[in-house]
Amino acid sequence: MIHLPREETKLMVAVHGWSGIILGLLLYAVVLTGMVAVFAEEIGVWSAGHVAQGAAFERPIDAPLQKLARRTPAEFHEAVDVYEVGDRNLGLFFHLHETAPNGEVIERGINYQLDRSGRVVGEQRGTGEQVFGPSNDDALSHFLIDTHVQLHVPDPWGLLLTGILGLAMLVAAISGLLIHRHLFKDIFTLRRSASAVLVDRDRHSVAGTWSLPFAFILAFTGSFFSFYGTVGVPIVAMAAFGGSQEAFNETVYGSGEKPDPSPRITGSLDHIVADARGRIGQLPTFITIEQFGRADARVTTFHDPKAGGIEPVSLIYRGATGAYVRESPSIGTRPSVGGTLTAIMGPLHFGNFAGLASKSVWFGLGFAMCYVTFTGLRLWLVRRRDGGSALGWLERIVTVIGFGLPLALLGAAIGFFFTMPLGTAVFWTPASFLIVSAAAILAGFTIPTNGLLMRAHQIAIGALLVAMPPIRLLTGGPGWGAALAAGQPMIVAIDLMTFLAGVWTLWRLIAASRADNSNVSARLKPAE
Amino acid sequence: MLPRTRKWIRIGFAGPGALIVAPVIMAGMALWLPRGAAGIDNLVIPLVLVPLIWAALFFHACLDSRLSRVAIVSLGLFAVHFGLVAHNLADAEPARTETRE
Amino acid sequence: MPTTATVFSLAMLFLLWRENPKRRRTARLPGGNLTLASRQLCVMAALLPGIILALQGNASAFLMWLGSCAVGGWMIANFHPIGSGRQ
Repeated sequence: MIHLPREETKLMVAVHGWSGIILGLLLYAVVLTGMVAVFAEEIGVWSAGHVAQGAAFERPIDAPLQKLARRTPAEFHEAVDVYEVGDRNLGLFFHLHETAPNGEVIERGINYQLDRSGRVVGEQRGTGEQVFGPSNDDALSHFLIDTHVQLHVPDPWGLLLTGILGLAMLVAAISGLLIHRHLFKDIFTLRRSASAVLVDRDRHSVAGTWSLPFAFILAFTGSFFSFYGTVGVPIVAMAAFGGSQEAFNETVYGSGEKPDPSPRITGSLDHIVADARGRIGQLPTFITIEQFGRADARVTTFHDPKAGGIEPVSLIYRGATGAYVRESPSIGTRPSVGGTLTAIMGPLHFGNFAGLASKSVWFGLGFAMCYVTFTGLRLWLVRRRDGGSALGWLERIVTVIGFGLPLALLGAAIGFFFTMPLGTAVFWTPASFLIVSAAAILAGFTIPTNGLLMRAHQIAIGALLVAMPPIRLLTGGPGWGAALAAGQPMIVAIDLMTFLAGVWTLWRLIAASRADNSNVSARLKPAE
Repeated sequence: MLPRTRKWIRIGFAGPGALIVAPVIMAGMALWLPRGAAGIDNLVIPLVLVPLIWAALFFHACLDSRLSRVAIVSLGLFAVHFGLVAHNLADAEPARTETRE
Repeated sequence: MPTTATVFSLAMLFLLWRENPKRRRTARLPGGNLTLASRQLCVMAALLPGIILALQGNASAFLMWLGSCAVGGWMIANFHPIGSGRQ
């Protein structure tokens, strides 16, 4: 498609290949967990068996809010986040903002969790990072997201690592476009009976071509998120505000209004929720109250995007009176190019702008990108194997990570199911992941050939997928009847998807095995 | 210049060069971009664009046949944006010193 | 609306897959029935729904259409009818 001179094409092939092989395995981990994390919320509902009816915001929230405000120190009334958590419980995080020693602005306060009857079932003190850490019933979804966002490497190194992997993916996407001379002519060509190099090359380039625009978008938005807080905001704050991230946040996220600290009871949140629902046609997904208990208090309700849009909607209310002020852009006090660009980074990356429909498409795209990464690694190895290089050890590593990682994620899910009823899921979910990973690595050392190693992993993946729904039920998860009665068809849907995916995986292996056997028989016949 | 030297210079601009110049451009852009309707464009647009700025510097260093042009573009952008940031910080310093006095 | 757009575009992609000269050559199939001009028309027809959605400013539908066509096109490319011959 783009005809570069020969030397430049050779350079791009080298850039594409080396960036892929050096960072490809880590990139594969990020892309695979990202693909699964698209459905983190649904996986949370399915794995924890959430069957409570009625959204948290459908119940009165003002009375519990005022009651908790009276028992919370006034220093933490600077802001209150109100959200749904767990099995339709209500979360309220009273907090202040402070600057950490490294200059980062962090939140610190008290987080409460209320059940459906308004009883306080949880209270934690600490920073935002501490109080929003994993809990027993969301350990699995939390684990998936943490793995994707920073590969469980501590801040800020994990975010920097995933940011660099995003840049590597950007380089791979652009260099891939530059080296492929017949992008559109080859878009449907998948040779199945050619040499291993050509077969892998076709698989890699066809999948890569179809997913190219989204590889670009996801790499770029992923890097944005990783670098935003770690290096982006500190550097821009240094240049524009002499290093003050507080001034940066106030300019970008602040209301721009004159402060008025005189005490005023914050108006009824129930009235605000009802009004917001009437205006937008849907309940809020999140509410923030700034300067609770002051005359300048501001309430912002956040909602899913309107039909046709991808940017979340936010409505602003005067806290003291509950009066509606205006619809606000997500970023900035007025619609702007910068605000819109920043606000759409999330929807473009998470694919959550149109509910399950868009998430399903993003899942499919994630799968395509995992396939591109994996086949790219295999292509690099097959090319060198044909050239006589002894890279058997690297081939095994690619197999162990390529198949071992999804296997270990399934192991984490199984570990979660067995330990959640015991209240120890926060420890055992990642521990199960590590145990299954160790088993996959051990298999990599002990199974004699790479072909057998691949087959063993795929059998294990198929078996665990098929076993997942029965294990969920046997460990106390809600049955299909209870799930449907509670309006949670997602539980049934994920059960069916995992079971069918397992059956398909095992069926493909059996079919491939039969094809291999009939080829061997056909070759033996003339000798007989 | 030896081809090997040229190759390493190119790698330098594409690798560490782009990694250093891109954040400096991001910082400098905050000072010359228009603020926009909400007064925030100059702050957030550089944050959004920095992966693309890095990619542009990387691929330019790889693909431009003239190494001198790669150096001029890279060093020129660095100098301009670094200068803007340094000037802005230096302006802010005397104001703080005056306040203390 | 995005569903109709996607289904139409995927139908065009399926036609393009069936008539793709290089695919047919590597599969040792006889030449297709569509001329180059007809295939180019199919390409434009496949893109048209997305262009309309973009011009309407329907960002959500446009992204859904684009993503669905990417995944669907890839699945079509992997389509391997039984008895279609060696490729």
